[in-house]
Amino acid sequence: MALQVEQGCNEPRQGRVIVTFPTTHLALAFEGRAHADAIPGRLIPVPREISAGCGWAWAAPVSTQQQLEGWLTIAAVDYEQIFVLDR
Amino acid sequence: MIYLDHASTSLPKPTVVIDAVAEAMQSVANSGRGAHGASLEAGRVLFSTRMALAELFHAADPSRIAFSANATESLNTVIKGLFHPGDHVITTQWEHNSVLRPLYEMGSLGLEMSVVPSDDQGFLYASKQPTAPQLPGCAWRGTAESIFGPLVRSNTKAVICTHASNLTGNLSDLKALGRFCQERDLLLIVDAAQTAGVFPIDVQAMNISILCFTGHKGLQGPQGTGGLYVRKGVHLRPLKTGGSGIMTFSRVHPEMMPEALEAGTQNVHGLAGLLVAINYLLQEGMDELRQREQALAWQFYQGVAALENVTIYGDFRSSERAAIVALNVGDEDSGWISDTLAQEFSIYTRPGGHCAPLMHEALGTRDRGAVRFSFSHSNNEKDVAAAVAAVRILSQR
Repeated sequence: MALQVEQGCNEPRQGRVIVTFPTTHLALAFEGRAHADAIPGRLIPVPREISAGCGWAWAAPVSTQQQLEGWLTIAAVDYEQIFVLDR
Repeated sequence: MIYLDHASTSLPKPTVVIDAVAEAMQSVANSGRGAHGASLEAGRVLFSTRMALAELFHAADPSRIAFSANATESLNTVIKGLFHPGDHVITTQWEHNSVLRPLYEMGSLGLEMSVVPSDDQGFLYASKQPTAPQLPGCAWRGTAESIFGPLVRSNTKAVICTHASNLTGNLSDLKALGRFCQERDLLLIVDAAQTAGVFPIDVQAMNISILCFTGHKGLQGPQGTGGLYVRKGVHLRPLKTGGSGIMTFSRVHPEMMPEALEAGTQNVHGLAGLLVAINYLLQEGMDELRQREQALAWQFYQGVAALENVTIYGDFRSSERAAIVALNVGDEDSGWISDTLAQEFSIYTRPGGHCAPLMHEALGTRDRGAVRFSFSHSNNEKDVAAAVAAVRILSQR
């Protein structure tokens, strides 16, 4: 289940679904699998709304959340948590 | 130059390795320190290199491979991170100082140690009852049980040993040792500095708990690359803690592999070269390359073995050994021989102690060392013929 994180910023950006990882190794493993399965998204710095502690997260348009979550149930990739950000 | 010192470092590196390092230095940044293209590319280099090493060593999980500067750093990480005062380890007289010195250091903190002896031809033997040697390819006078078994105590935690002696080229049977360690519930820690990238190593089939390797010898990669495989369930206290690219505000270094054993900027540019080197070995065929260098070493051995006044050290029942031939000429200092080979014949070898003090004690060469010739698939028959001819000349002076 994705956590909804509220934003205070009024900037009209599309929302994003964010996947976090405990290590950069797992972030890269995720990227490789996602690319292979044509899953939209890319690695970004972990947004500070989620953690100020650096690292990489996977970000995809919120419109692809269902596709991503569906893929995660069958892809057997390791990740930490899923968040949805307003921007 | 006829370079016969590949046991020190392989030279020259394959051109593709050199090109990969140069290219990385132009476009690949630091992994995990940003998410721009150049940083992500660095991360991908590390990821791909871990995957390649996992394939090479048959490791099920690439995240169990952490990078280090070399086998020495890997061994220090293991020896200082695994044992506690009161633990006991078994090692051998074949070991390099990269195993011995950290063990001695830990010994001053309460680690106990037993050393399997070696005879003057570099065979490990059972101190109570040496038996006939094992099949060619294993320089043991006895079995794992008869050689290592009597040294096991109630507080023995691990066997730590080299796969091949860096001085004699003699080989141990890792599969047999792995089986022994499994039966005795001991960790098996292997120093693969001389064999990674040359001999097949299967960490699962050989029951290897920890494998320490360097990138710049048989793996044909740049200096400053290496690492260790740590089996799941084995925990090490890290040697270094610091920047990790993740969990900045935690005062504790990350505890998940591989970051748990990596701190600071990795040698990404060097690892870009190591990645290409591994692919080169897999493409060319590691077995074919090994057989080529073994044949060259064997050709050299047969040439010098026929010479009077030359003493050769090692298990030469067959060519199934590391591509190393260590020898002495008459009563001459090994340093003088090696220097003369370089100055008069442009043949590059290594003399002296080879950072293997106990091996020299066993061979009786502590005072003069030995001249080590080490071969690679990048050498050829003409190199060997020239080296034999040079040794012949020196042996007749």
